[in-house]
Amino acid sequence: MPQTFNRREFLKRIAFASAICGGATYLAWAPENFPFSLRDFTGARSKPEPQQFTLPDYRVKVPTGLPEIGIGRDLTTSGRLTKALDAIGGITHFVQPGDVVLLKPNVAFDRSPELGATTSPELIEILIRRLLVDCRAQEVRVADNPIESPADCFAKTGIKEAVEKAGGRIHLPDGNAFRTLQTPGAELISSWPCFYRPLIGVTKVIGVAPVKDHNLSGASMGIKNWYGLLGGQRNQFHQDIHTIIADLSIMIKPTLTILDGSRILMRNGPTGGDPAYVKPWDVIVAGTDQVAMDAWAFVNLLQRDESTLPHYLYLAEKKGGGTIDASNRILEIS
Amino acid sequence: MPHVRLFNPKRRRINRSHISRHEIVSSLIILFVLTGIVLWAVTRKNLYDPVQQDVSLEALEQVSSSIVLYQRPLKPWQSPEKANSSQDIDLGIFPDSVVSEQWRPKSRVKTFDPENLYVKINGEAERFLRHDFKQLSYLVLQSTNQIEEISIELYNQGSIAGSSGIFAEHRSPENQVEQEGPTTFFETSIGLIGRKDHFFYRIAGNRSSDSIRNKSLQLVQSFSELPAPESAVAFGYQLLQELNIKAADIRHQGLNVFQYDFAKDFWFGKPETTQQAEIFVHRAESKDSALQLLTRILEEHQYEYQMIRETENLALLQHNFLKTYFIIAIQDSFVFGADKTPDQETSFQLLKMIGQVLPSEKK
Amino acid sequence: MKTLFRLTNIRIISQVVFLGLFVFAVWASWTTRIQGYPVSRFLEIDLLVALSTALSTGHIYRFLGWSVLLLLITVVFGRVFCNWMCPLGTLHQFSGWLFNIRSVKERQEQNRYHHRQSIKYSILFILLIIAASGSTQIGLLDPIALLHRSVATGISVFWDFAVSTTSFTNLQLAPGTTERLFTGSFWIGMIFVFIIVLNIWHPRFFCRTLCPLGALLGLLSLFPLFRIHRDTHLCTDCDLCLTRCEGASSPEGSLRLSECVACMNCVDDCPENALSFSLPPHISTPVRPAPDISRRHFVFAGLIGLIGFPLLRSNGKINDANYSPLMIRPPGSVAETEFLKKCIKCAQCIRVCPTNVLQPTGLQEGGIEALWTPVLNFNVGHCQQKCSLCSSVCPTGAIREISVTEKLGFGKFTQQGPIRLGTAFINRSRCLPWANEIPCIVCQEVCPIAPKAIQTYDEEIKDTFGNLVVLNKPFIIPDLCTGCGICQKECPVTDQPAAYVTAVGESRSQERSLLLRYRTNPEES
Repeated sequence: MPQTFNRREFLKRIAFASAICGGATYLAWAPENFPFSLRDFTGARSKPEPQQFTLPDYRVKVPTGLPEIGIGRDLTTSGRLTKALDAIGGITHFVQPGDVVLLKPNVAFDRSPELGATTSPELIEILIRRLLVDCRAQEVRVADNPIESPADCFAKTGIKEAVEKAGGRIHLPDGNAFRTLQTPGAELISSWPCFYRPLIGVTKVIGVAPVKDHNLSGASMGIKNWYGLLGGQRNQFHQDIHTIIADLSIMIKPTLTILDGSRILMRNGPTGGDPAYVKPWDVIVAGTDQVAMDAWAFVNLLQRDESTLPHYLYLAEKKGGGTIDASNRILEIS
Repeated sequence: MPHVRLFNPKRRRINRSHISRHEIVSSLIILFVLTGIVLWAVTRKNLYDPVQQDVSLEALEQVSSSIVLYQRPLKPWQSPEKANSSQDIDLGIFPDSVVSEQWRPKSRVKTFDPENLYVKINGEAERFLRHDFKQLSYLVLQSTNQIEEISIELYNQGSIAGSSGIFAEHRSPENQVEQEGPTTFFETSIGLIGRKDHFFYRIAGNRSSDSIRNKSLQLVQSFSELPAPESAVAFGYQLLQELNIKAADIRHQGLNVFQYDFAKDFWFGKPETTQQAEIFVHRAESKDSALQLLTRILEEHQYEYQMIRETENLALLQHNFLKTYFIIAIQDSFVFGADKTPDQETSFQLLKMIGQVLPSEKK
Repeated sequence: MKTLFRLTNIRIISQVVFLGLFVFAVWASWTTRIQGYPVSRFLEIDLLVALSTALSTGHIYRFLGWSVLLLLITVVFGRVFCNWMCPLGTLHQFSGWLFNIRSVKERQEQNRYHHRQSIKYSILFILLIIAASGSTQIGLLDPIALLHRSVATGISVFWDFAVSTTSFTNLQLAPGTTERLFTGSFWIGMIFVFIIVLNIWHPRFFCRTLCPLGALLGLLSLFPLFRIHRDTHLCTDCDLCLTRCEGASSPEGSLRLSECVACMNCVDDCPENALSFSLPPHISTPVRPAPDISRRHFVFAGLIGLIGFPLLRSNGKINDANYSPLMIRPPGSVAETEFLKKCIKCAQCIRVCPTNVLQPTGLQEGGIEALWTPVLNFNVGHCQQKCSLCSSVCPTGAIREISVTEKLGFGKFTQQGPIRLGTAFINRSRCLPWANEIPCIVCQEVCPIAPKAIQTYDEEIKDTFGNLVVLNKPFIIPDLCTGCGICQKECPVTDQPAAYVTAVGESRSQERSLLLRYRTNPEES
């Protein structure tokens, strides 16, 4: 028997209609700050907000009385690393047990390490072992964002093998690994996508850079090494290369910077490509002032004239990334 | 909603009842084969040569540094005021005073070597090459009025011998030759031709005008700044100058003197006192070769000349048709004399004159 | 317990194993994983690939001889490949089974032989004639090539995206890369989805009606040793054997040998145990060997095949005068006409390429004939210097296997020089230093050649704003440029790069060379 359309049914239906319409009206018309309001009058609310983050200060002060920059000279990688680090207080002063350390080498090209365009795998391996064993770090991560195929670059430079042998972990970049980094005081990268995933939970950051000639900026050493953390359309920055490198010097405040002077790329940088451009040498520079280290390496390792110091060093000094003059803060152990 | 299933509802039901032993055995064999295939696939992992995907260091070092590229220098910024002036044109050998406010270089200076001189002056190159040509510097000046142009050909003939030789070839008797110091020149309808030391130059405007003429004369002044030759002045030139013969009237002939292929390197001078007579001087390698040269000249000359008087180191001849005299003598290794003299007396006069200034040979 | 070792169960295991091997091969086709695995082996045992390239080139390349195994299996056992090994067949069978809600009667009608099943023989014939004329087009419909291509270009991007939301990055097909893209993946993916989904309405439609490999194997299985045998004494004509017949091969009547795919379902379904897969007791038992193709089919197919090749080539782009500047082939590729004789559009090279530079062509570069063959698109990536993986996975030798030493022109290859993919050019009207007085020079920075193939005219000028800037204005040295394309990839004028590579100067073709002599290597031709 069909149900009669009585008052109860009528009220039920009115209630249903009001609920639907009322709910929809609320969603569409309630002022934007009301809870659950979907209203977007100007379009500003639906604009995608890239997730942002800032980097903490990873710096550790050198022990009092010791110089900020140490230079180690030895015929073995292990020897010169020890000397360089001992000059500034030893690795255990900078990395404590339980630290999560990020190593940032230069893995920008699929060159074999003898061509001097990338960080040497022996140094990475020794460094990771020291961090894990001597300093009892909890985890050592190795990351870089090269413009070439990341898998190929890590494989052909020997870094992948070195890291896996020593017990570290490699982080390859992919589409989801980047977030917008805020760098106050930077001119070009005050807000720029940065390779974020390996930085999550990291307490210490160490940059490990080779010493290279560079066709545009003059040299590519400790500061320029951080370029590898940038994402987005970073090829635009070559229109003002010195400013971007100066910005890099304040973008990240690393615990340590290590310059690997075992294979110096004297010409045709930054890609190199010919073993004749590489000068084998016996120096490692470790320190906390990237600007001073770059200046020293430019004169002493790349054998260039002091009067032609790259412009980015002066800009970096002005921005507060460091000081060029290293006179009282440097110690060499051979 | 109509009740329609999404997935296949039927459970697998086997209708047959009998499975033969063959089937069971085949199944086991097939399982075995499948396992083998999987194992085979898995064990292929390390069957590769990583060298295929890399270039060995030895191979890189083999061709290392084999290609060297020329690195152009940075072109520095030039402010517009300086760019308009002529400083940016490298004038080469031309003195700076060649250009002025009114006369600017139209194009850059072009230089030519003996190998490619013909590119510039075609067949004429032969003449210059005969006179020891070294280099031609060519410049075109343009007047600020853009209409008038002057082309300058500056020939480095290597020595005074060369420049005087080619100068003499250009000079014809009606040219009025002027001399200022080491510079000798004469004007032409559109410019002038001159020489200074070992340089020889031809200046030609594209029309005949006062401004071009004035500029040409200024160029002569300018060319007086050209460097003097490093090599010592040829003796013949000096000698003839000592005889007060004007530089304009001194010439050098390197080859085919008197149209004889064995006679080379003679200096000629035309004294003011004579109309067409020329005195000549030649320095042979030795006394014997001087004597040999004299003998041969006389030998050839006898076809056209008549011997008047002859001694062991002197001869006087008269041309059969022209009736002019030719006198030639040797002293030490010098061969000297006069050609086309009008009479015997003048011949001897000239001979004596030369003989007096001949340097004595140091043995 | 005894029912466990039935052939149908073994068949399912076999299908799973081979599908698993296929998935493994696709997963392992990546720069860090490939090592020594034979990731193109499915294509190399594909008999149609071997036959087609043998017809077009006259030779059997490298590992294509393994297809003799498939030949042996087919001649002895019939079309077991189609239902025991072929991964696409497995997918078809699975999707046909999964959503099948028909009654028994409906299923039987679906599995009756239909005369449209003879179309695949015409397709095979047409494709083989076109191959013999000099152009391999089997890749369009060959099941293994189609599956490889669909997975590599159509599905991999979505799979990787889905997996990236989890932490199992090891399952990704291309881990550690930013989102890959493949031009033309819409059609490739759509066609694949279409033929899979079609199984819901017409079971095994592709296998029965379209598959040229199935047709070829069908022709080869006309005189097998083993086959489905129906004992007519036991048979009660109940048609239950048709319920799950995959090949629609009329097991209830005269078995069509060329259609039977040895799924063994009919053996299971017969309540009288009348069917078995065995050596037949005598030859005269009802069987219908030849496929249902008449002479008309034959002649028409032949005619279409004969005009097929000229029609395909008539796009006017496969020649050395009017070739597309975008037709930049992978390093190690043979010259164009030979390439099109060999390429089966399997997209293995596209799959393995670490920089995503290899893309399937559209219709623009070379018309239908070159559709879905690999070209390099330097807007997407560049050719990684020390990588020649595309050449090692190519099953037919369209990309001849080369070592990296040969690719870069070192060692014993120094005299012949590096393999050039094309030549870079600078578009001065878009280059920032040339056109806009803005310093840049990324292209020179990233150029991997030693010495760099991009040099500069350096000039110091006063720009519009009165600033003194040093401009490095780039120009290419074509003697050194290998066409790797990283300059185009990194040029900041991203939509239409100022530094760009075109195909001219490629070393695989004498007719498309640019320079008369190489000033840096006089011995290179």
